[in-house]
Amino acid sequence: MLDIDFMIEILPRVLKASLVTLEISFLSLFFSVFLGLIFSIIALSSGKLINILIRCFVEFTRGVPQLVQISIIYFALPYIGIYFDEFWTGVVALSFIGAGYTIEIFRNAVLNVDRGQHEAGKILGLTKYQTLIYILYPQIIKRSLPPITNELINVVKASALLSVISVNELTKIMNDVIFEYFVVIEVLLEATIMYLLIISVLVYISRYFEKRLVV
Amino acid sequence: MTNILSINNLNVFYESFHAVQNISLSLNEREIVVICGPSGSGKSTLIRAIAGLEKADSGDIFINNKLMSEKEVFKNNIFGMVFQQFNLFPHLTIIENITLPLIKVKKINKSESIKIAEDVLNKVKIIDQKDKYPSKLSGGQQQRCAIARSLAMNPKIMLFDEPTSALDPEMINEVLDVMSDLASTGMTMIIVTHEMGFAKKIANKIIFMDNGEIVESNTPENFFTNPNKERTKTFLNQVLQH
Repeated sequence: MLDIDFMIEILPRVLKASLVTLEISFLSLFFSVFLGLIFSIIALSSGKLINILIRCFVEFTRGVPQLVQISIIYFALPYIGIYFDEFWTGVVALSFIGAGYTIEIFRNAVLNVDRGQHEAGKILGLTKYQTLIYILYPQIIKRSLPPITNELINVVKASALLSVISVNELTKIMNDVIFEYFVVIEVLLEATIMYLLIISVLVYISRYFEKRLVV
Repeated sequence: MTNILSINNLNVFYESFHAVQNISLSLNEREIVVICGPSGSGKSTLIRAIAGLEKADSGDIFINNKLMSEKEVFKNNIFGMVFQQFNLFPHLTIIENITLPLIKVKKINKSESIKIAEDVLNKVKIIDQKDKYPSKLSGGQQQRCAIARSLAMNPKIMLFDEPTSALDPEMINEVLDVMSDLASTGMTMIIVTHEMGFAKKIANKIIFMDNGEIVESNTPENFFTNPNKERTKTFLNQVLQH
């Protein structure tokens, strides 16, 4: 049987930790999408060199294990004078991880817009940059939402890795409670439910916007 | 008559396929040239290369006897282009489709650009549709809007790349009527089309292309009644059979 009293006793700690997970996730999601927009626009309107640099960033964030990326930001960056505390290390790491995917999603979506749209912009005299901002990006937001949401779910899940650098998020607190009380099932259950809840809300918000958008 | 466009020895390759072969062509102000020919003959590639949408591998394009960079050609709206697939911007209303380039490229303020847009929409007779999105309009209306959008930019030469090929038969005439109106205002035009009756009526010169080359360039009268080349006769027999 589940120890309901114990579950209620630890609930405030779990909720507080969920809030930290939510905060880190929200900030990382925001920066992932923001960086994805900025860097995909730069990639699409720039020359070869800039594109190679962005390509390197994308390959790095997608190719290096997430735990290693977190460690690089937390342990290695201070050597060159860049220091983030645990919380912001988490936000920066997850934002980069997310951006690696969002850049590619936005870039590919723009390249998949019918060639006629690019050409109509060009012949009307719009610059490459104006065509991107006023013609192409407004058309890709709706169709980018489902793949973006999938990647952002991965970002939320990756936040569990931040327990290794002692960010007091959900997974860290879950482990703490397990080792303090030697009770496993109740804590696991609460943590699982909290993760599912956070991700459901995220998916719900994304679907809401998807339905609202015209194009 | 002043020369507005001359093309010297234009060549376009797709990999090893020679799509446009050594084409030279010259156009005076107010002149209307119709380009026809079987599909795959290079007529669309030619008009797209003139517009700057297809990279020419060699050859020069002079506008008012001046060689212009691709960037200048686009920035100064030398060409207006009407596409087979309309290419309206689906996220903007009809009037926004026209005002956006006016505001962003010509730097005209919003109220002035709305006036210009309403004026061209009146000319193509779809002013009553101005606040709708393109997807709510028929193909013929969409194409007329596309013509209006090009006209609003005040181009020197209008290019039409099979403007009626994607339309249902009953909508073809409303687009051709708008093009005839435009011709009567003295607009210089190059038209790629399969509408031979329309070509006969509107053109000052008809060019027949096959395999990337100009086979025959003639006046409409001679082109239809007394063509120079055997290849032209075969083509006309095929398209005018019914």
